[in-house]
Amino acid sequence: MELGRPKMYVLDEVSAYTVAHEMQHARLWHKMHIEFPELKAVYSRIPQRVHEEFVLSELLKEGKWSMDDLLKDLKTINKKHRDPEGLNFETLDYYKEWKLIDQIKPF
Amino acid sequence: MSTTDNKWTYVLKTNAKGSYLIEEYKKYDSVIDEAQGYENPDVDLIVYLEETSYVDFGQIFLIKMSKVMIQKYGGLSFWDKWQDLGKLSKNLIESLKKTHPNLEYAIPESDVAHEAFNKEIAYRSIAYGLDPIQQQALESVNKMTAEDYEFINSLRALKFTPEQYDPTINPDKYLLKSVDTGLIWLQHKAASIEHQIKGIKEQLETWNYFPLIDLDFIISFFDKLLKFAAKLQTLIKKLKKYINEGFPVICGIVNGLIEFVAGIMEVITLIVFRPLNLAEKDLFEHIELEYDMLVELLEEIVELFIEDPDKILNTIEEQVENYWTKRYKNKKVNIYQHNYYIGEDIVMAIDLVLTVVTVVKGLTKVSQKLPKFTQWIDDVMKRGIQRLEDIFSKPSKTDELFRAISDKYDLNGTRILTFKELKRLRIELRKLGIELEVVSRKSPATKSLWEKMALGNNPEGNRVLGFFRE
Repeated sequence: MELGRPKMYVLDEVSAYTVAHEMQHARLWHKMHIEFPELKAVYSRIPQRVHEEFVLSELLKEGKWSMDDLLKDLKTINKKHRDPEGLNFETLDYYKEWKLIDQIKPF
Repeated sequence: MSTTDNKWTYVLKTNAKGSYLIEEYKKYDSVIDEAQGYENPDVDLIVYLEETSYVDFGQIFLIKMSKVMIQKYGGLSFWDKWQDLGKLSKNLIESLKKTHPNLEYAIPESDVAHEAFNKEIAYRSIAYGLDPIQQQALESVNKMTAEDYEFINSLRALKFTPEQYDPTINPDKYLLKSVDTGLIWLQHKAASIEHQIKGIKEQLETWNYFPLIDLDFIISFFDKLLKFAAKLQTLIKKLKKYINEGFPVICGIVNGLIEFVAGIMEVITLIVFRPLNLAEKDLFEHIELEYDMLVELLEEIVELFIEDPDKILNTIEEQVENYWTKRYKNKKVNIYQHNYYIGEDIVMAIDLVLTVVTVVKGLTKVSQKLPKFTQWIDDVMKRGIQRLEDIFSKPSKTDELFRAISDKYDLNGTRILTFKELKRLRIELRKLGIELEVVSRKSPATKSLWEKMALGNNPEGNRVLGFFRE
């Protein structure tokens, strides 16, 4: 792995949905490191849960993905991230209105 | 427990919490107030001993004396008082060690007791109105809030004004006539900050006049601040190459640092004057619960300063060199103000500054006591939130680049991407600074990783392992 660069790992025979999911992570990284480098520190403070929630909300807004795929991501967020943090489980409707800027601090 | 020692009778009170002992010490106590004095069985003094150390402000060891006792020792000449209290202190400590062997680890040396006697005489003289000059001084201290301290106002007065970094307001007052004059102004400002901090340190040293304030720790912290201010001048020299375009940026940095240091000063004043809450209760009674947090905060600041004293200035240098020219443009203000905001934001984004800001903003009552500092925080934060909203509210270049890739590969539905497509995608992403590794069981290089991924949390076998960041 080249140091200082993020790396996406995908299995061969990967689905379009999975690639789209990882591309959303990559897009946020690019935006907050390359396009707006002053946001690097902000990015480093974003918790993993919020990264996953960001991806799900973005994919939901695209309106082209199957409910099965979206629900799998939702389940992962609820079980792996929200539950350990003591947060309520959420539905897909919640992520339709979800905004990244409500979840992050400016510095 | 009561013990008679040299015919003065004392009671020992212990607690693990120093702040509790201070409160107990300050309370009026009719038992010792009415004590008849020497050779009388009444309790003449109460000793307050903290069982564990009280952070770096030192262990609490206080002595409350009866009125009769204070009059006896307070009325002595300097030399007699020094001698008699020295002897009394020695006897008291010996007696404490003898009668409380389980507390030997916590019982201090006799010079600490001597100091406690001196503090008590000074303190109780004020409380009993025995010393009108001190009484007056104390009342004026109690009436002050952090923002009233002249030395903090003087520090803030050093901040650059908008017309000094923005020629569109008043060209006559604009300080950057040339790179060299700009540099001189900046260095002069940094030297003034150092001078001001030095003055504040000297002021603090005079505050030792007031009883109950242990300023040694704070004063040593000021020595570190002085070194920091001296290094600021070095940093400014290093930033000379940016002065032509970045003069407002550097002014913003200097102003941000002044505000940060002024904020720390305000925190310090709240901490050091808290025990002086005698007659005037309003000043500190509401922040009792938040006091410990302030002490912790100051501790953390000092530790970080000690661990890496150059970190703040190094971070600033790095931020200026790497980001300010690439920074998102705020079209609502002109370029000078925009650049000035960058400077302030660079200071705000420093970890240590953020730590202070987060704690201070989290302490509601403390925030109210530091109106200028919290106003500065609010202003910078508000701008930061606005900047994030501007960046995320509309599609940016990054969004366009990723949308183009997504459209090219027809990322739709549940279809499986071919290996050829993934290879092409890898090239596209590499141009954006992102690596893509296709993990296949057919490749010897990735077979073992494939097994881990396939056996991991992805039972369907075609899901991603993850996106690895720096």
